[in-house]
Amino acid sequence: MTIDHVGHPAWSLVSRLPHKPFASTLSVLAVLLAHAVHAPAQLINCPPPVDLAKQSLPEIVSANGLLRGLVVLSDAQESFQIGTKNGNATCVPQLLRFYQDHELKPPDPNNAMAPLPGPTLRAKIGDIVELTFLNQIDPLDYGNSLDLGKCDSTSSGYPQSAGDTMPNCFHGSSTGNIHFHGTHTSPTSTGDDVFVMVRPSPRKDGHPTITATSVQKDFDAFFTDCEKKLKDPLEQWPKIWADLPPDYTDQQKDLLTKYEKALWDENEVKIHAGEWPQYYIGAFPYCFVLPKYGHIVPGLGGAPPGLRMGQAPGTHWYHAHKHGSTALNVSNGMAGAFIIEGDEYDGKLNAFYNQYRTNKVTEWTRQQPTLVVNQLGTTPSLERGAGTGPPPFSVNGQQQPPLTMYPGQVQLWRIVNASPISGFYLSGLPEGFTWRQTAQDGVQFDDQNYQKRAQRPVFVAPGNRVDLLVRAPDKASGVPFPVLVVQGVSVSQAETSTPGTVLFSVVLAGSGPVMPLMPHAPPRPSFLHDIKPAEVGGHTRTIVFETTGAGTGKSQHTIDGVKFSEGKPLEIKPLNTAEEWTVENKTVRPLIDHPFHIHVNPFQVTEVFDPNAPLLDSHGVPVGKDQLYVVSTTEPQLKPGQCWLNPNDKATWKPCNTSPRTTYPPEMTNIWWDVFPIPSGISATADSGKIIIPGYFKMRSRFVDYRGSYVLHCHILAHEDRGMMVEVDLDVKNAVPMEHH
Amino acid sequence: MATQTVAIKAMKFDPPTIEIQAGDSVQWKNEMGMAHTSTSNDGTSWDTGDIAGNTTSEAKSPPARGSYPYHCSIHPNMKGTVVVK
Repeated sequence: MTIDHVGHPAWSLVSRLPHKPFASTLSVLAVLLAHAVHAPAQLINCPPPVDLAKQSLPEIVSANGLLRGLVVLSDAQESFQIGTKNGNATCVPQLLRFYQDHELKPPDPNNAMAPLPGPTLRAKIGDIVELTFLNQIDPLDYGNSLDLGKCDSTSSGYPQSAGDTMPNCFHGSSTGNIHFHGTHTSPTSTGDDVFVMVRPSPRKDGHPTITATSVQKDFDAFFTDCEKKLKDPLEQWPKIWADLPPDYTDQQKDLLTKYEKALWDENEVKIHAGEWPQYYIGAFPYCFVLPKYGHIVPGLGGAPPGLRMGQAPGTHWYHAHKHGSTALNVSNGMAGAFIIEGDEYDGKLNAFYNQYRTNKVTEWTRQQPTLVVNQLGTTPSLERGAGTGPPPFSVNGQQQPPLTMYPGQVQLWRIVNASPISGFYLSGLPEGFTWRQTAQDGVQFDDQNYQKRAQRPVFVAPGNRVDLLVRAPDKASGVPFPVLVVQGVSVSQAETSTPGTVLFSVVLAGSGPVMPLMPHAPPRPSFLHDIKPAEVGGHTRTIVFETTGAGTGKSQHTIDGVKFSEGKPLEIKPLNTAEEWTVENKTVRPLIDHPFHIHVNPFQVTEVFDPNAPLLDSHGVPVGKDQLYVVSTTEPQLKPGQCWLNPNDKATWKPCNTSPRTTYPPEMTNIWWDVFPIPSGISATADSGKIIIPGYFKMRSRFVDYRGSYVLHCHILAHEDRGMMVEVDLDVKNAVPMEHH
Repeated sequence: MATQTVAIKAMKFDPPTIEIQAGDSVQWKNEMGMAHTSTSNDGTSWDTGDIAGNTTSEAKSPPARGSYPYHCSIHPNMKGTVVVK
């Protein structure tokens, strides 16, 4: 394996056949390393392209206040597109891991499955989520990435070649879990707890022994208890091991002891400390609430529960989050959309658009396309090393698929950038299309931002979501309209590049009622009011992201100069405080705007300083070739809109208030995010010598409602796997540190 | 001993591939406002260092006949090739 300039694996486009002849996992690793055979690609027919507007992704839909379902981590040969020949897509069978809403069915020997995102989770604000999670992948399919408590190793010299060590290296990709990205809920136990690690089920006669049927009785009992406890949305239950059904805990103890006694020993230490154990085998019950702000529980006393925030309705998502294998697993496709509906967003959109429906049975918002963008990777065991660059974008598993609109139609595109590698810059839509952004990262715009950011370019970093209301031209066209983007990891670079990557193509066909763009956005829920300086009350901190050594094969990705360290969390306390953070980026070569992500609580960006920014006009379009900042130790001659950046004077290292990107007009409110690309730094020469002027953004966040340990990290996931992550402890102190074996 | 020039504009090397004779050299004229580099992919043949906006780099001579892919180390999507005949 090689590590490229942004530190992600260089993916090979060669098919790999499954290996299953071994009993010992250790011997599998040794044998595969010795026989890293590059199987010739066996071309197969690609599945026919599916119209994104008609594609029916599997869904798990809530009913009666419960989002109840099965999420199964499986692996199988899928039909993987590797290119185009004579205008036709060419595919190879490829072993990939993915989430499904059912246990794996016997494979069709004549057809490989099309790669799809995981089932769309569709819940409502106030719901309790009850998901039976099963890990049924066959670990012997992934002999080079077994859960052995050490780094994966390859014949090309990894991990030594990259200077990586445990736990900040690629490892353990057979382990499964789920991060519910964008949820405001408990980060502990069966909530959005990314420290939970579920090893694959044991297998007998080639089939997993832990199944939906085998755990149903225990999990049903647990979910019933959970529903009672979570009627109070601030209740963080379960709290201790004994809160789980005894049959399940007895079985887990037995399985873990047989699998790897050290894991059970580590669980026992946690259990004795009254803390939540991290290791499981085969099955895990996720149960948590999507808290409804203002929710009052009858029978729990007179006082309201006292939620400081609620769950924002919008486009969220879920994905694999085992430290050491997030990049590999998400690029296999272990990601899906999590749409959380609420009256203040979906309700208002439907009130406006339901009248235009031709299908009157289903609400308008439920008829809109969900577009999960990914860069599907094809080296599930990291054993290959061809430097072919990052894979192309796919949308719902397809490369450059069609999306049909009729002339004059308005659609709501819920776009999730699930790619662990690249962002994309959408500078505009084809001529004749008009659009409005309605939400960022699952939090709706209020009307001021809706109006001011109309038709504006948007950079969608890895992990970001954008909701766009898009109106098609009134006249039909015989040719498809490609939606062109710039693929990249630097906003400033993307802004000055010509879009050349087709994400998908809009086909204008059919007819229907002509629709307008909604003239005004509905008000944001009240708990999303701006965080003012007085609320922060002087609680500030600065953290610094940096990549060094790029191009040497040993790039290192750090936060505050160090890699992720077990037992060294960033501590925030007490609960229910607001803070203002300056998040800096000292990376200069290459430009990598590391996408900062923090779990549980979204944040508002109040200031952005990008020293590499081009000079933009009021529409966000570059003005000629000029830069926004002129870097000089002597006062330069400035063009209109430019600012002086003096390497000798830190007082000048701040936003140039003429830029439409780095400042928001005073009539706008601050947008909520859960991923934000930190502008890269710039090299400069001061009187003292060579220096780096860091880029930064400032954000404010409310750390409220739920205590617990979670993480912040770079959402270029190979960077996270290799150490660009920090544990965040919100008003808790763990007696036993979290581990990442 | 001639020196040929590759322009840097619109986030691209222009022309993307340039052919020179052995012993000749190449310089890069940055016509953009931001800094770029020309860095050979092999990591050893040449590296101009930062070429500030609206300036021209020193001339560089690849060491032998052959094809030399290069890139900008600040903006790695910018790629070009020098072919020495």
